Amino acid sequence: MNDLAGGYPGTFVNADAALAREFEERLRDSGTLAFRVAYAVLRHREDAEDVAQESLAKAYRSFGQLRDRERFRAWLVRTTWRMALDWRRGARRRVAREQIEAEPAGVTTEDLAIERERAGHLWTAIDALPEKLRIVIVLSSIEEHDTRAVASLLRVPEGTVRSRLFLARRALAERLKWLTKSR
Amino acid sequence: MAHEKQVDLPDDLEVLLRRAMSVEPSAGFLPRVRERIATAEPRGFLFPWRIAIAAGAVAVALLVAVWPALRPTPAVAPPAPQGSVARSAEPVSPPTVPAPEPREIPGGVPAPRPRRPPAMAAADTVRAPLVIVDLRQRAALSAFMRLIGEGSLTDEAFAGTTPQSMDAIREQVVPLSVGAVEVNPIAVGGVLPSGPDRN
Repeated sequence: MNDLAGGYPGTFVNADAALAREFEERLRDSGTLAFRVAYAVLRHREDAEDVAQESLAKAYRSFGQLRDRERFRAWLVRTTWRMALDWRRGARRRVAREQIEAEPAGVTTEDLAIERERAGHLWTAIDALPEKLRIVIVLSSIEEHDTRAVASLLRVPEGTVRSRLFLARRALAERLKWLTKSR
Repeated sequence: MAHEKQVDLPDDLEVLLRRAMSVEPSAGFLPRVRERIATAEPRGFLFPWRIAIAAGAVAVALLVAVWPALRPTPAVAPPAPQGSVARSAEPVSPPTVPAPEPREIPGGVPAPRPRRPPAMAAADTVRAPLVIVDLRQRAALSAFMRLIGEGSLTDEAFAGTTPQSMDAIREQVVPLSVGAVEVNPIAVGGVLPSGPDRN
């Protein structure tokens, strides 16, 4: 990021360098989080990277007000989520979504196909959740967030997160009961 | 509270959920983000410039709004043939019908003045802004200041700058006679209570 600061002349360099260093820290810390939030909505790697990139660029432009880490991450999650929803609704959406990205090593083609199908059902069940429940289940699954972390990211009380997580997991368990029994 | 207890998903579903959410971005993601924001500037850089630009825009807007009021307007009417510096430049009233003489009733108290016709009231309403900022007065003042600045202020020169004068309406001014007003003093102990009852 220092190379970014070097691009600005004169007296701005020092102030910019400090801001740029801080932002680089946030970028390393939260870049993947932004991508995963976008991916949870779009389920297309390139689209998710584009949305996360735009969201991070927006965060950079407002970084003067977002220097606190928790504030930055909460803002980033909410903004990325909204931007991803807008992207999906917009004309730029891709018709076909990727069903699963991670391909565990050492699995057969048949196992991989089964895994992809199961993941497809899982995403369908997640998509069927109301948005408030969906974002809670997504964030709690990303990087194994606990309810306090999710509450901090969403700026809602911890009890609200627990309640929504309960409802979301119950709905998923009911919808995907057949999937676990058929295995 | 039932919500405090979490629902246990089947293990394989839990694993599937975590795996689905643990997708990693491509290796080029962060470098692309850095490249993207290299072309952007955080607010800290632009903030002083934005203040300066906003202040300039406000100043220009104020100047544009105030300029018509500050700009001296040229005299519209030809200069009056004669006059003096003390002559006023009052706005010309529209032609009016002389007001009827107030009727007097026995006892010396004049009758109440008749209400003005609606047309006259409307004319006053239309002319109202001229009372606040009279263009002719402003033109006369501007010319007066200009003559002072040029060092050529004379009676004739100033009279030539006065767009209007009372001469144009002098014949329309009608003397108005007002009857005698009788004032009766208030009788002793008339209005306010007096004495020990007064609080």
